[in-house]
Amino acid sequence: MAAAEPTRSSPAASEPIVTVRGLTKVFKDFWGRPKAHAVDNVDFDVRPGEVFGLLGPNGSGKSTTVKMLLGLLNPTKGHIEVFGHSPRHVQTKSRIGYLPEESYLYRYLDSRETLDFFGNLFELSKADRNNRAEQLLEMVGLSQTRLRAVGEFSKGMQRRIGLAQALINDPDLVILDEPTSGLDPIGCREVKDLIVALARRGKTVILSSHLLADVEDVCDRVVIYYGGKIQAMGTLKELLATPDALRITTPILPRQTLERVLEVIRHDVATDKVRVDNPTQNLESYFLDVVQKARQAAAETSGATSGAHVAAYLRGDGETKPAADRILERLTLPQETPAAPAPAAPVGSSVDEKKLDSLAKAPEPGPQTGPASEQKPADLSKADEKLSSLLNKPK
Amino acid sequence: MPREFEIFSKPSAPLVAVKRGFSWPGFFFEWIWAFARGLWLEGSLLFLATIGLKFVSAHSPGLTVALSLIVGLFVGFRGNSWRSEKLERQGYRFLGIVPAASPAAALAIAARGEQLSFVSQRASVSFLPTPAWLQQLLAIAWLTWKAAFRFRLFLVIAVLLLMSVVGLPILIKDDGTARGFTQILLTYTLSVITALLGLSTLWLSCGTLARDIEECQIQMIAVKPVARWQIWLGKWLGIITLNAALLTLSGLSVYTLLLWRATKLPVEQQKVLRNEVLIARGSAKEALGDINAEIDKVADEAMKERLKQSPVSGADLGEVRRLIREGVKANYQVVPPGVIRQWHINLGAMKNSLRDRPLQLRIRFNAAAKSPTGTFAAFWRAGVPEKTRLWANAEPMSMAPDTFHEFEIPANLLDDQGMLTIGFRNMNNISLLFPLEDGLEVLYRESGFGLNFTRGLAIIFCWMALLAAIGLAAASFLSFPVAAFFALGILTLSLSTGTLNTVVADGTIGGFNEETGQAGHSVLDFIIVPAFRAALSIINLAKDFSPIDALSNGRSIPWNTVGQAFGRIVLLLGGIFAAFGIFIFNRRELATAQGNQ
Repeated sequence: MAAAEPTRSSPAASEPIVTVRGLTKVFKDFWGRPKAHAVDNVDFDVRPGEVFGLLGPNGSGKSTTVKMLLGLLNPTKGHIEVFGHSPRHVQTKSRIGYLPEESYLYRYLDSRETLDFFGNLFELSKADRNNRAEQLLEMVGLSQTRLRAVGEFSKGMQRRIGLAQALINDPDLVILDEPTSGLDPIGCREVKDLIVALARRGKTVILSSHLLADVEDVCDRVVIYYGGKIQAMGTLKELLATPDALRITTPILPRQTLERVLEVIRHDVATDKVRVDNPTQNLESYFLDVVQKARQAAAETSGATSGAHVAAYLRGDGETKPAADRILERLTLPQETPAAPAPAAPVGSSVDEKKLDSLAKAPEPGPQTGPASEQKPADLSKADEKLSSLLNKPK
Repeated sequence: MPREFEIFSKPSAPLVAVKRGFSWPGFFFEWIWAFARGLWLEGSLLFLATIGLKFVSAHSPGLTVALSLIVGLFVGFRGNSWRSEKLERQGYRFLGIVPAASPAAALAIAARGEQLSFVSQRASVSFLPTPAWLQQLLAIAWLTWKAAFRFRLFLVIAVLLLMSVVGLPILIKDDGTARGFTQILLTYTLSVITALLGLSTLWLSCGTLARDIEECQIQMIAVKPVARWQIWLGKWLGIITLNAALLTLSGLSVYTLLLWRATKLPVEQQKVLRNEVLIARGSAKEALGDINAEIDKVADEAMKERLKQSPVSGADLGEVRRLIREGVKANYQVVPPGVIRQWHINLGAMKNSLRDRPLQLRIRFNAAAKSPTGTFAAFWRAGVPEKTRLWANAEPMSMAPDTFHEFEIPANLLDDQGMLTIGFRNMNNISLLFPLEDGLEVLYRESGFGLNFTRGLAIIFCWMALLAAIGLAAASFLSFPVAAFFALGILTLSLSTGTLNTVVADGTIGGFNEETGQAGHSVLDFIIVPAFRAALSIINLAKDFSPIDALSNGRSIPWNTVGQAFGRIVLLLGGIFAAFGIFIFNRRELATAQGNQ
């Protein structure tokens, strides 16, 4: 993400937070015979401050890897270090926040009690627990349902509580397993914003997902799993750049102008290599618009409302900070726009000619979420193509 | 030591300073201090506690002193933080901490707006700090409580227990005697409570851990900075505190029902009840150690004589010795016709407390042959001529063999050393035998029923703690229904020690053929007999206690028995299961391949 880059520490310089070497997990049946190679000889490092994506189709070993990182599964072979310790080291876990792929919450607790319980496990004081629980419920948009049992919640609302509990200890490493599954588009957007906000504060995020949009929007580096093996690893830029294609977006042109332009292009390129279409607004941004309007009309919902702000202590500018820290932070951090990241530069634009690049971007209108999402269809299809080709499957 | 004050402010109100740390006024004046500080709730609770202590002081002054010291310390340590919390509830904001000599000085410094050292959170400064591991343990234990209440489990079990306590005496009518009354209102109800609570404990403890693992909630806990042993012990703590609450509830109802229904018995039966059941009686017997030594000595001499006459080979030596010893022992137990048997019972330790209190004799004898009437005439005498008062029954008592009899003897029959001498003259023409172990014992009042009842419940509670540990240990490596059945299996096995006893006594699992006198030995005996013997001795560690019997017989359950029960049942056996369970749980992979299998 272009917007977040300046504040991130240069990854290569610092010690990795997570080191994985030769990690293998073989699930065995009752008699000890190998049943499935869930993870097969995997190596990777996660560096401080980066958003690291574990990408892959269902059953490719992402969750298994995550569970081994957390000490919930024991590796068959290989070595894992998290903050320099074994994944089973108890005190290390006070620096980790984890959202599992499903909401494994106690159904009989209400959302306040849930957060209070996990706060207790993190040895937080009562005041801290209350304070953070309030902020987190506000953040995930559940402050109006705090006294309902979690078991009555819809899946998406349970996800939100799950996310809130993962952040109650203000973790240095956040591990999110399919964070957007079951969330509505607003929820997805908010989760992504949150991840960006966390990364901006120097937190490290490990994100496992099969949703390309999730990964693409927020991750610095990804590994792509298939069949328990890493098929590709690198920054998104490295993986997605297609330097041999170019896209030009303009307002609607008169037919003659278009013909003339195409004429010029056909001069150099074969006809079947050129494509002309209307950029369509995608469903996500349309839906966001509708809800945005409804919210301005102050419609009430018994379900999840849109979370308003990232909790203050997670943004790092909470009242809980001593004054001196606050000043220090203000001086060192660039001014931030809390809700949405600045529109990302389309990945496809990494072409040599900077002029053309700016031409392509200039005419776009500027609603908050517009630019980023309008770029998506093209980017996504590229990502999908990339993934498919990696997996040797025709799209 | 410099004192520190917390400064609170509120718009349009003067600053307030609260001392950090121990509150001496609170320690000394408790509820008065609380009221003076406007802590109405705390003050009222403390006031009630003080009244409660007044009642306790009637029974045991020592306990009262200890309890009031604890209350005072509690107020001392917590009092100032109550004040701070109250201010925050009233909308005051915590400004910071000021070192000063007095509250006024602190306020002056704060008013100048300087030297305020900030702490991030006021309440994070705890005056009676809970260690972190305890906070986590308690959070997990509290979760079990919440589950029990939200799933109405507590309610259902409590209603079941109360129904059995109230319903049983309605279903089964007693025969109007003190014995029958006790049997139903104490023995049966306590047994039913133990069984019900035991089963639900086992089920619940299996469920609470196994279900968490199956439904994956445990994954959320295990990724927090909580050691696995804390999770395990937290679950245990939750269940045993739940048990304590249920046991207290049902125990209280048994107790009140017993006392209330006792008033409806005939007057003379009420007296029997008060003397023999609603009491905690200690018991004294003849010192067995001396007698055994004497028997051994005599037996050894007889053995030498016997060997002089006809030597026996090594293998039979033990058997011969045993027979000779039995013979010698019988001499000490048998009372032939016309002979007087005397018992000397040392009550020196409680000589003073027994002054002017009548004693009870509890006796049992066997007869060499049946008498035509089924009973035997018994003449009893207590005391030594010229040394103590004398007592003897005027009419011969008519007593049946092979059963226990209790009768009262008057007070003050002891001699100066506190020795009680009891004589029995056999006026029948059949020999009688008083077993050395329980042929005669003297029962005397030791303490009241209420405390004894509590001690009895404490032993039952120890069993429940053990059952909870067994259930959790099973759930540490098995899934839910399987774990429950496994634990039930262990329970059934340990309740049916009859088979184990037989096997160990026979020395074989093949069974003893009565006709041929042959034991059906098998190769498995080498393994199974020692294994059964070991199992038996482990089970007996827990089964040796019989609080319900003791309560039904008005026997005192001494504190050291309760201590022993706790040590053996909870610490030793419970500890073994806990260590095993935690070990397995610690090694277990808490996430399965698919997550929610």
